Amino acid sequence: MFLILLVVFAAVRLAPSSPADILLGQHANAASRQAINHQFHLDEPLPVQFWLYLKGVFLHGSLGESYIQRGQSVTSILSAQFPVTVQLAIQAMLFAVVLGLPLGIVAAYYQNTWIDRLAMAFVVALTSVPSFVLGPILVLVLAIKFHLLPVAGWDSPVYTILPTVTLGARTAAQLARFQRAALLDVLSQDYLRTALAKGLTRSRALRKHALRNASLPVLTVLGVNFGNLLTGSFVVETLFHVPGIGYQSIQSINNRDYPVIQGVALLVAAIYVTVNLVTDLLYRAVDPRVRDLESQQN
Amino acid sequence: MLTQPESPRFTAHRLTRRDFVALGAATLAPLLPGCTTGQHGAQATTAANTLRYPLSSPPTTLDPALVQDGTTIDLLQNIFEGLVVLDSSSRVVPGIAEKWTISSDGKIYTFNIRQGVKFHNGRSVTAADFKYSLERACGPALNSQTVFSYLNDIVGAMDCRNGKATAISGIRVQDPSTLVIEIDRPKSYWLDKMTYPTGYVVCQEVIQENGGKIEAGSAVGAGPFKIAAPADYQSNYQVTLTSFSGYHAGKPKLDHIVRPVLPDPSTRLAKYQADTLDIVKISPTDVDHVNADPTLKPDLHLYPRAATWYLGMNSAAPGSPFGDKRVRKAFAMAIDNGAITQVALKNLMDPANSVVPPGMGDYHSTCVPLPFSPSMARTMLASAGYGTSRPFPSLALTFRNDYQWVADSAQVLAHQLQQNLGVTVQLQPMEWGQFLDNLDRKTMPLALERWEADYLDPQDFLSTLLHTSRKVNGQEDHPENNTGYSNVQFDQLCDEADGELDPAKRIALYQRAEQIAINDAPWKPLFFQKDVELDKPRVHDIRDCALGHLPFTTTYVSG
Repeated sequence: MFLILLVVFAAVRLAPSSPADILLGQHANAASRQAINHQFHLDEPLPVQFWLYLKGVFLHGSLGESYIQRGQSVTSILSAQFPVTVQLAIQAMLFAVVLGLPLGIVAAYYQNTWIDRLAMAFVVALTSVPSFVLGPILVLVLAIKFHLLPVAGWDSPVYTILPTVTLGARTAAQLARFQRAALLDVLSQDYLRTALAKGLTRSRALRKHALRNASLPVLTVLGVNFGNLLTGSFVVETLFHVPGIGYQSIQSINNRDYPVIQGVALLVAAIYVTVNLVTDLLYRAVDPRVRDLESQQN
Repeated sequence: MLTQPESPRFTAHRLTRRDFVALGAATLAPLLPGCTTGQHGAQATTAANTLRYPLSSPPTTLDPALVQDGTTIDLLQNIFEGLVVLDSSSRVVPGIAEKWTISSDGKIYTFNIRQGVKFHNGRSVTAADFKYSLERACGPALNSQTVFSYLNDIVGAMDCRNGKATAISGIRVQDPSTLVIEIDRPKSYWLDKMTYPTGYVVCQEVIQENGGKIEAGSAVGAGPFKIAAPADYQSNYQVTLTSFSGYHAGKPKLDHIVRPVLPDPSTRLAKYQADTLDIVKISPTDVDHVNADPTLKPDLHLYPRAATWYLGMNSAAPGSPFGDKRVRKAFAMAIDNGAITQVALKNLMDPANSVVPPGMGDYHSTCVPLPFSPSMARTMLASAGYGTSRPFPSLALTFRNDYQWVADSAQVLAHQLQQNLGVTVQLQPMEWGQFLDNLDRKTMPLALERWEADYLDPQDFLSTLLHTSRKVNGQEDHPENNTGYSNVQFDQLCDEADGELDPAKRIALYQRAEQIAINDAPWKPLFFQKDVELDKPRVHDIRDCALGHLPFTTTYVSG
C-alpha cells in the first residue's frame, strides 16, 4: 500500500502544470500561483509533501481535501460516489452473467450449428465494439430516435439501463466465450459419456455434472472482470453522466486535483486486492480439490 | 487446454419460443426497477416552468469570495447579488443599492441600500452586511486570490488581505441603509468590478454557524434563486435552484432551474435532442450537424461575448524574433482574419479588427487595422533582415488542445504564414494548465490566445494586458501582460484614461492607445468570440450581456 501511495504521489506530480494554473485560469501569474501553492503545501519539497500526505493517511485517517471542490474532503467525495460505481458494476456484472452464460451454454449445446455460429458472431461483435462506440449507438437508437430510454443521468432505475448494457456488453461476450469453451471441454470427458450411457437425460447431465465443473474457469474470469467493471467505468460514467468514481477521476485528472486522484488510486488498488481475495475464496468454495490440497498441505 | 471435441450425443434440438422468452427475461431482469439510485433519484425535476440548463463542469465552490471559473460564476449570480449588477445592454445598473453618488474627486462612493431587500432566510439586508461581506472576502484566512484583482482599489482592502488590519478602513457604514466606500484614486471602471462575485452580499450569522464556510446549507444570498435544501446541491451531478419569493425585484417567473453537470459536449447535445434539456452550449464544430437537422436548426442562437482571440507575438520569450516591430507587423499583415472565421469557424464568429471587443459599455473601437497584404508583409520581413541569406528561425505556434475549433484556427493561421510570408510554423497543441503556465512564464514566442473580459471596460483589455509590466517588490505590476509589450506613449495614455472621470475624454484616450497597440502589433487580433447555443423555442426572455446570460429573473418556460 505504501508503494502504491508513493507511485501515485509521484505520478500525479509528473504531469505538466499544477492545480494553481487550473484554479487561476487566465489570471494565473507568479504571485497568485505562489499563494495557492503555499495554501496546499505545494511549495514544500516533495519528500515533505509526501510525509504530510502519509501523516494524514496513517495518523489521522484523512485523504486530504479537494483542491478544486473547495471545502470537500476526499473521503466525503469518494463515499458519495463509490456506491454509485459499485451499483453500476454489480448491474453490469449481472447483465453480463445472465446474457453471457446462457449464450455460452446454448452455443456449446448446439455446437457447430447455425445457433452456435449466430451466438458466436454476436459475441465477436460485442467484443469488438468499445464502450465509447456502443454507448453513443445505443443512445442514438434507443434514446434519441425511439425515445425508449433516457439519454444520460442517474435519476431513477430506468436511467441505469443504458450504462449497464454498455458497461456489461464486453464482459458478457467474454463470459459467453469462456462458458462455451469450458463446457465443450467438460462435455468431452469420459465421465459424462458414462453418465449418458447410464441413461441420464441430456439436460440432467448438463445441469448435474457439466455446468458445475465448467464453472471454475468462468468464475476466475468473473472475478477479474468484476474488478475491471468497478474500475473501468471511466468512459461509461462520463458518457452517461453517472456520478461515480470513474467520472470523478476524469474531472480530477483534468483539474490536477492531486488529493482526489490519490484517493481514487488508493481505492482502486484496494478494490483489486479485495476482488482477488474474494475470487480465491470462491474458488475454494466451488472446487473441493482446492480444499483437499489445502488440508493435505496442513 | 480447452478443446472442442465432437460430442455426437449433444446434438442440436429446436429452440422453442419458451426458451427465447426465458433467456430474454433473465437478461433484462437486473435492469428492472427495484434497484436504487440513491439520492440522485430525488432530483429528476421535470415539472413545468423549470429551466434545464447544464453546467459544463462541476461547480468549484459556493463561496462568492473564492469563485474564479466562469461556470460557477454563472451559477452563483442566480443565488447572490451585490450593490450593482449588469443589464442586458452590458451597463452597470442598481442592484441591492437603489442609487449611489460619487464625490467630486471620484474617490468616494455613497450607496443607498434598497429597502425591503431580504436574504433567503428572511432577514433584511443592511449596509453592515456589505461591510462584513467585503471584509470577510479580504480576510487572510480565506486566501481569496480574486480580491487582489477586484477589491484591491478599496482603501485598506489590501492591508486587510495581507493581515495588517482586521477591518477595511475605506468602508464605512453611515447608517443601516447607507454604505460609503472610498477607493484609492478615481477609476471609472470601479463599479464594473463590483459586479463580480467578490462584491456579493452574504449572510453573516448563517456563515458563522457553519464555521465560516459557505456551503450548500449556508449559501444564503439575496439573489433571485436559492438552494432550498443541501441535497439540491450535488456538485458532481446536479444543482437545483428554487425561486426565491422574497426577491426584491419580485419572484422570478421560473419555479426551478435544474443544472445537471455534463462535461461531455456530445452528451449535452444528445440530451437536448432527447428533449431533456432546454438550453445547451455547443461547439462550432457541431454546427454542421445542427444545420443539417431541420428540428435543431431553428434553435441555433449566437451570443456575442466580450472576448478577443488573438495571435500573441511575445518579444520576451528567449530567442524570440518579435522584439523587432517590423517582424510583428509582417506577421500581422500576412494574416487574413476573414479566412480564419470562414474556414475554421464557419462564419460563426466575427473577424477582429481591434483589441477591445464590442459590447464594452459606451466604448467603441475606432482603430484602423493593419492591412492584410502579403506583399507588404514580405517587404516588411525583408526590411527586418530576413531573406534567403538569413532565413527566418523555426517557430512553434502554441494553442490550447481542448477545443477542435481552436486547433482548426491554428491550422489556417499556420497555412497563411507559410503561404503569404514563407514562414514555417509547427503546430504545438498544449494541455490547458501547461499552456497557462508557459503563458505566465512568457516562454512561448507565438501563441493563439484569448482574453475574456472580467468586467466590461476597455481598461480590462488595454491597461491590464498591454501596459508595460515592471517589478514592484519582486512582483510584476501588470502580470497579465504576456507578450512583453512596452510603449511609453501607450502607457501614458492608459494611465491617464484609467483615472479620467469625463467619459468622453476617457474613451478618446483609450481609442488613441488602442491605435498605438494595433500599429505596434504585439497582438494580431483574430476574431471576437460568440457562444453558440441551442435554445428550445419554449424558453422565453433570456437576458444576456457581453459576459454571458444574466440571472434568470424574467425567463419562463411555456407549455
